[in-house]
Amino acid sequence: MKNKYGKMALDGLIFNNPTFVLVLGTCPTLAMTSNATDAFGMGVSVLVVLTLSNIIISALRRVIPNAVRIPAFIVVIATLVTLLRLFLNKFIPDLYASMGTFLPLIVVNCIILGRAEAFASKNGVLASAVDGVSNGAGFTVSLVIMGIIREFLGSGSIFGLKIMDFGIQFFAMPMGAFVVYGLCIAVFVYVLDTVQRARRIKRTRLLRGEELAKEEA
Amino acid sequence: MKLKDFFRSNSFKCIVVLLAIALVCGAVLAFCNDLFYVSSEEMFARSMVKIYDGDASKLVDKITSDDDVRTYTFYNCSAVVVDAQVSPDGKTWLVQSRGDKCGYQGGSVTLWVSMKVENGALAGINKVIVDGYDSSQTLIGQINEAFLATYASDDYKDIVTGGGHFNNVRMSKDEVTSENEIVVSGATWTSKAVNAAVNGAMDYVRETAGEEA
Repeated sequence: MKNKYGKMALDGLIFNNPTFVLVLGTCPTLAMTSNATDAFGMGVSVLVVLTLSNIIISALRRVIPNAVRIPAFIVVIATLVTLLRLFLNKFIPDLYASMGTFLPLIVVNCIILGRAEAFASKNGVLASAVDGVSNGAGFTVSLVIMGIIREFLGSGSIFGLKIMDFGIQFFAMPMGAFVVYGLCIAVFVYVLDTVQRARRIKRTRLLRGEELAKEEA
Repeated sequence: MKLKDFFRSNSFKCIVVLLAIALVCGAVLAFCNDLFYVSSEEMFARSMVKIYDGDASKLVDKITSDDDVRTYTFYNCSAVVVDAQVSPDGKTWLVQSRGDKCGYQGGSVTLWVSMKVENGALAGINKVIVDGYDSSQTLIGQINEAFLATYASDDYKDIVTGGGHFNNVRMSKDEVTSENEIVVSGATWTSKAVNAAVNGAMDYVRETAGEEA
């Protein structure tokens, strides 16, 4: 059982990372990563909405008829996003202001609808919650990595702290976001491929070793 | 289909489930809307914390009715001064000004501009903060504190004290051809709305503080 949830967590965080592997939620990824603080805020917002929507949809999966599942999911997600907007406007107004129009756009974030449709509507509440947290965390980590790179190269700071007195404006602009996104995907996929290849080779050697041992016996 | 069959059909179940979900969600939202309501007083207090060091309760309100609201026009932009507060000594003016119809897609940006007044004349800009904007200003994140601080910098003090206006925005320092241009990278249209709002706030103080002097 523990293994199952551990595998799900690793899937969302690394092997099926929504941003760098599945290339989902590209709009907020490009728009909200000009600095690490905004990227973290967007990531956590998606994490909260994704986890709660997965839990609610999973709990209602036997009640919602198949024919109206998408409108029902959208109503649930839109409600959660509106609640998040009200909460942020009341308690974290600076983050609310910096996220601007991208906060209500979380409603149509394909990671959230995708996980609701592909996972939460077919699995139990606990498994859906783990899936929501892991995918949300994967999205958050990806956004923060991109935010740190773009903020450092664009203004020489990280999380608003000035590190160096230089800035390449290109990286603070939308075209810089595309370049950083592409490079991040390339590096992530290369590292992932290398690790998976090494694991495959190790497994093959182990299997061969077992076969040889059997033959000798 | 008989009425009895309809009530047993899947269509009826779909309608009931969707209605039930919509009703529950609506009720939750109505409750939370009241719970998390941000009043105009709270909004005002939030802005004042960012822009005014003194006791905000002692500020004198200069715009008390719609008749006091003033509109200025600059280079295809308009600026609407919707609120103005003055410190008890009359030396600090806080003006809420909206750059209208010249942001991205004709959108608007609202600012609070804190200004220094000496002998009835505008003597400088202390601080500029963004108070609000419409949703079309998607690159508002580019209008950061460093950009807003340029309005209060000594480089542009002659424009402020000499009765001038910020009349343009440029993408880089290399493109600047005169002293009343201000540099911004990205969010050019939003910057134009910000420019107009700052210009409007300055003109309001020049007129009103001058009249009072």
